[in-house]
Amino acid sequence: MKSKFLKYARVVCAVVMMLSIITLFCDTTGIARHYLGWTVDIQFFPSISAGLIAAFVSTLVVTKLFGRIYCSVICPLGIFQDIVARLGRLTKKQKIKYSYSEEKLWMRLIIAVLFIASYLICAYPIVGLLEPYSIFGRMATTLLAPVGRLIAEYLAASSEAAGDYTFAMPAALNYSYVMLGVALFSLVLIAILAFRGGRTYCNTICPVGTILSIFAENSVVKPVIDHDKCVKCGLCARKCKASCIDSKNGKVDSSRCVDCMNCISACSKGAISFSTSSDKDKTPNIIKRIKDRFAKKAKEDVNATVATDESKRAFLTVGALVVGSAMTKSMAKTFDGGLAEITEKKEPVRTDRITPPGSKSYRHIKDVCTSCGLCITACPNEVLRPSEELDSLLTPVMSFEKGYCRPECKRCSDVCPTGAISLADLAEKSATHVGHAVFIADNCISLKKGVSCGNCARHCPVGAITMAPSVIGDETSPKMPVIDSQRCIGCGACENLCPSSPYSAIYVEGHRVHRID
Amino acid sequence: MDRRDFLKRLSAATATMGLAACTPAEKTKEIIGTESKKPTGEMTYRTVPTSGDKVSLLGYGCMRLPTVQHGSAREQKDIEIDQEELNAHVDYAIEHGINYFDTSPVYCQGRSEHHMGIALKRIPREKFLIATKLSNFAQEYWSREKSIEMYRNSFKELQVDTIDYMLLHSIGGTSGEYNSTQTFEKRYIENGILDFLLEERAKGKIRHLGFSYHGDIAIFDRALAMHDKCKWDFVQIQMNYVDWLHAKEVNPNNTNAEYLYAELEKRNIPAIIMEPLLGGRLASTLSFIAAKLKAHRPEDSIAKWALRYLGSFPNVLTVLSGMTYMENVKENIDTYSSVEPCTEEELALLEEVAQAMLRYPSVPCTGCQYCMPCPYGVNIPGIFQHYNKCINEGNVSVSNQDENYVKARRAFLMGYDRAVSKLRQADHCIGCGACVSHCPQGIKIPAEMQRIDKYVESLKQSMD
Repeated sequence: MKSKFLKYARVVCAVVMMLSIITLFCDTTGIARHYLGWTVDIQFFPSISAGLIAAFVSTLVVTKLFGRIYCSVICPLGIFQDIVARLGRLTKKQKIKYSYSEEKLWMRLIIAVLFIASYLICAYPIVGLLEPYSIFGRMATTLLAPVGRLIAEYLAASSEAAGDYTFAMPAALNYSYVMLGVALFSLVLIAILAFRGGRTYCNTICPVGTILSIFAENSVVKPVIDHDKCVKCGLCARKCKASCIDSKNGKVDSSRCVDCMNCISACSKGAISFSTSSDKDKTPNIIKRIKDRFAKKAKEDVNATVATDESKRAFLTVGALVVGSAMTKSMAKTFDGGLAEITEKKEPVRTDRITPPGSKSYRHIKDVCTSCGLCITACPNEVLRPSEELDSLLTPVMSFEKGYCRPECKRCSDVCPTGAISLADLAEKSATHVGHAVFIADNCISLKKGVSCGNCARHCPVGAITMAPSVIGDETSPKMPVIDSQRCIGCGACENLCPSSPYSAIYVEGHRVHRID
Repeated sequence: MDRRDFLKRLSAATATMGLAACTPAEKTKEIIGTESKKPTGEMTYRTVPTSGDKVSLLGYGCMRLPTVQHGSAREQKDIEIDQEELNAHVDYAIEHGINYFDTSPVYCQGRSEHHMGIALKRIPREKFLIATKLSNFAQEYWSREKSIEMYRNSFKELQVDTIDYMLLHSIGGTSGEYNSTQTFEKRYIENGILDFLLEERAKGKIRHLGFSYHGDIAIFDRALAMHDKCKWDFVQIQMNYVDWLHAKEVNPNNTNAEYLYAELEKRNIPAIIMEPLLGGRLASTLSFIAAKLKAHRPEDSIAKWALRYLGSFPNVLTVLSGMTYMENVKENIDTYSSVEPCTEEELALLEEVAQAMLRYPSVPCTGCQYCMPCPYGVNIPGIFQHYNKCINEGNVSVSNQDENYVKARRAFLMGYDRAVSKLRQADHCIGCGACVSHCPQGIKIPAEMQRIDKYVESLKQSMD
């Protein structure tokens, strides 16, 4: 009985973790962050970036003590693969039988080295594309968050009908098909791998997995086969998602084991236990394994994962079409008669993109952001969206067609697990100059039509705009906004509230480095 | 019926069914339906001193006639007026003692007189009194010829030989570059129209001559100063228990009804009352205020108080109420059958209510939509409606020290986003002022928008 307990405990933890993270990505109220924010803060790579030393040191310590529990109960992508693998076993008539496979050592190492090197030399976006939490984050942002929005809309509508205001109408999500494409690509790739071979991704591609495996290869406690009880039936190996049990030789490769405990509950002889091991059963450490490989001069097959370019393209377009039509339906709002049509605003061409307050500089966001998309799902003002430019791909950028960066909000900073966006308080935000407003006289209705307006000046939260006569010395001439760029913080209130459409008469140019004063 | 109404009704229906199911044995009296409720008393009549006319205390306002399709006949020319329904209204009104019908050449996009003419043609002439106006607002009508043409056309449209009550329509207003005095001069004095109407009265074509007044008090005083010459038979003013002492607080252009009424009473000129419910604001009010009134007279609607109030003034000739739906007609008649004048204590209570209402600065928007469409897409009536609704439900806080500040803030902001889409909210008002001249209530829409916007901004910024 005790043998099954470990597996169930793992499943329960994993389910709780998964639901928490999904809730976090689907939340539109900002409440989930208070209770569940820690679930993403303790993610391995984000905790390094955010400098949460306690979190990542404990992960390493736990891994050293018990093996890669992290991969089974904390990493959402790992849990996702378990779910897919489980589905794989449900749908196939014959339950999938895993089998032991050799470690793809070279591939693991190459990717891990590439990852670490990219991180060190800040070769964005490789880090974000390989990092498991962010891969899951993009899937959640593009595929789950819209569902969360629909649920929130339903809740808002029904609570309103009941005269209750618990649920707010959620802000629309700034949807990016580029992000969807990237997410679908990784989703399909990982799902296929998981469906067929369990934790293939974790043990061949995932850089976090490789790093943790170095600590796990000789963890204090791990699944150990009792040779006296073992009858070499191979049941455990067939149940091993990580393909790391060499049942013939009675060895468990603990560098690849993710502590799912399935083998322990599967063994009919009770021969496998989660305990300390004798020297004989130790997995050779990585240096030794590399040496061994050199010695064997084994030729490793490294072309398994490439050559999927064609299918990627197909997935991109099909996925974009399907989700695209669903999104426009749910976002379209109908207005009653009597209301003038509103020409939708279009994003102006900005010389420099605008990054959210707290992201410090282009450089900082590039260094630290792993483009998980959590901030984008959290933005209540429809401001943040993933960048679609190559040099900043999928990192958050701001634009103000539907709303502006409100002075009382710092939700993106609250949710960001990596510290790419980090604000101490709202005072810091209001002192952060992420950009400055630029006036385009040709679009200004005050000048063009002689209408009295001044909406930009009226709404500037820092009083950086004043309305002045357009003809010097003539007080009766149409007024135009005069901008004090030193004061302007680039919040976009003026751009958003400018009555000129589709292009505002005043817009924000981003700052490459945010000025704080 | 929108979804909210539907759900409300649904839940009410369910509740009723539930109750009915619970108490089958206790049922002692069968109630077939509230609709079977008949007016319980007789219509009250007041007498015009100059002619001895008996006028019903409730007058039928013809500004918002029933329509075939959903929509307002005031707003759109292509919305057809439902003549059949109008006939039914008129029949019901006459049957229940209403005899005063108030129209104008400009109501319902110029169609009100025509349709009232058809409806009243079926009624014996002695059973109704028709009031119409010389509504020469547009400057093209300021010439003597055009004004007289408008006057003559009223007879044609109404299909009558005499007009019982003729009014100079809304004196005291301004027009374009002309101030109120100039406008009054241009409309009625310089072109000799006032003299013309006096002649027509002498000839018997007009039985009573008077004026309706809004705005500049100087014009009211001036018109009354002409009483010796004109012998006004009646004057139409805005009056209700808020405007009695607090007209300026509602709208700085207005004058206390106490003064207006006193001036008329001094000269023994009967007063005809418009805006008895202050644009509907006295029909539904703050819940705690409503509770006060309900405590005194649980059976009475809040609107009934406002109407009873006016009935308490002996010099009030008739109170005009616009009626679009048969329910309005029935309810109004029910209210005005056997009006009990307010007691001293009740008058004091109403004054207290008026003061309480003024502490909560709701916008006197009646949702008529004249201001729409806003060229910048702002949903003006939607914003006012939400704001007023929040005020009435106690969800507008005066300060963040208020007890229910957090709850009120939440209800206001969340309801705001739901009631009005983000791109149509008050922060998109640029203050161009295109709407202002369209507002019959004279609401300073851009200023109100900015006030609400500031309030919203303060709520948002105090969000944690």
